[in-house]
Amino acid sequence: MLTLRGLTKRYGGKTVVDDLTLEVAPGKVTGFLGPNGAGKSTTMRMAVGLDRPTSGTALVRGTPYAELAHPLRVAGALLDARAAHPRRTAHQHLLAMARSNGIPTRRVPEVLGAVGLSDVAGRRAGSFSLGMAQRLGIAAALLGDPEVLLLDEPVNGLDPDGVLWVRTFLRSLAAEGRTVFLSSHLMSEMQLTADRLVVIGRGRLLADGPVTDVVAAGTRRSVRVRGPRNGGLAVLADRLVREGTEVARPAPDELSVTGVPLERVGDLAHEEHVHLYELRAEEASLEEAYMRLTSRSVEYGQAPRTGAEAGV
Amino acid sequence: MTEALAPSLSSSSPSSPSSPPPAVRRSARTGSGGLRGALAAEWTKLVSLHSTWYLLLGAAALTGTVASAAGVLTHDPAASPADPAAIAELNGVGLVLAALAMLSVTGEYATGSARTAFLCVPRRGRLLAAKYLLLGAVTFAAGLACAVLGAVCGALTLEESTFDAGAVCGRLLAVAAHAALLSVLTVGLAAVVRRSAGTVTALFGLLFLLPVGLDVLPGGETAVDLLPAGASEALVLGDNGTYGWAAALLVLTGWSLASVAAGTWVVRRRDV
Repeated sequence: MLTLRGLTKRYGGKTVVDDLTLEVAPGKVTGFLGPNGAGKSTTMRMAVGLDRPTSGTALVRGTPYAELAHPLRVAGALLDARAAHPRRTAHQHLLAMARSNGIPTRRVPEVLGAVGLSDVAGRRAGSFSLGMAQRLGIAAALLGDPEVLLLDEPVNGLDPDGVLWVRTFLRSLAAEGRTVFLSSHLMSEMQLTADRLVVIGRGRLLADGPVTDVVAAGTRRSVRVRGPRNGGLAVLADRLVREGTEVARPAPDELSVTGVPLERVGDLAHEEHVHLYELRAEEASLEEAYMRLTSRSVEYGQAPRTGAEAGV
Repeated sequence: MTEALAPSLSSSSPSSPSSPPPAVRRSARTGSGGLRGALAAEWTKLVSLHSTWYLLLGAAALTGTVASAAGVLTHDPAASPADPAAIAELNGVGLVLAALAMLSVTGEYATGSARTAFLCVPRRGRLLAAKYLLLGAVTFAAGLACAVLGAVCGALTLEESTFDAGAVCGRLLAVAAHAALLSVLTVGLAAVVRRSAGTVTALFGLLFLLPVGLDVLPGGETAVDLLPAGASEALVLGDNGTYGWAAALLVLTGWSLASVAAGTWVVRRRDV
């Protein structure tokens, strides 16, 4: 259980995290999504006491992280792939961590085995590839067998094999009843891994709920219609516009209809005797929901081009 | 790679009743964290870096060289075998041990492993206290070993000398105390500055430039004696012309405590 209450961080006059309140529940993978610079990493760093909040509190199992007697046994964090001293071996790195929290040293080979690094335990962390460093970071987070896991972009730099591995691994950790809080800017990854989504932009909470709800709330369902090139598509389009729906014609043989159920489009086509090849509800995507949610809060995005600028 | 994780996961899964309970939960009551844990972790980190051993070897080699040279060059029947050891401490050995102490802080900031250190020991003051205590103890021991080595080199190379066991032991302990106090002062400075280059610059400024600068000011001479360099001299040589080793111990301890306080104050307030 991870609780953030009115968490705020200002650097100078710039508010990076703005009055963030949320509860990350156990037994689930909670995705933490936002554009670059939205404040995800700062939030995670405040949760484990590395950054001091300007105001508000972050509680791990009801207690500020820094006040836990054995913090690594309650919460494990992967904040940065390069968290080990490059001239220390993977084994030595984890051994020092274990001793700091009175964790039995036999946990070190255990977690190294769990992330598949047993064979390179005696190699210096500086010689590791980014993927191996990420695995070492995950091993470090698991060292104290913690209830809460905070992972900042854990799939960054991993090959597809590694991404699949992390996804499976995190899902199984949540299935064991742990609280898994995972940040990413990769939406497809989130759609596959997370049960619940927290979306922030410019430090503010934009959405918080089950993945399907966030997707549904952020997207408008549309219906794709395909028919003969010179058939009655224009007639159907006119009829739909008269019904007050929004119709686009992306190709001569295609219509994209928004704001009306699929069944209604089919009924109208039948009434107008329009010949159809295809009538299909478009899948609502997290990408679309996310773009809609964050469109006003993209920190380093391109300014939307207006018609005049685009030369239309 | 995917199957590699399966055994450990299932072994810690509450859903498999046949497997033993997770190791950590079972021992949670007995294991130690706190300052003891922080000290154990700092010790593990210190001995697992090659640089630690290279610097200790360097300190020993420098002691042998400088103490032997000092012994050969001294022609004084009243000279003590501890004199060459003290000269070696003041001319580089103390700084080599201080570098060892500095790296325990700046090495972590430079590599990003400082974040790991603060994740393991999130009480900032506790982490720094562990560093101050451990590095103080290690440099005291190393300083004492170097002092003994220096005294042996001195005894072998001095043409004529006066040996008083009590006085020699006292001077060797003073050398060790100097190494420890200078190192603790450096750890505090490193905690404020975070970078090796900046810490070295600040330390050199404090030890070598400040005395020169103060000396030209009216009434600056007395102030110079109270700086770390003046106190160091009085501590390991027994006297700096203004006060003796006991007062020097107090003055140098004061500088170290001031640095400890500054380091702790800054690290507590700053984001990692």
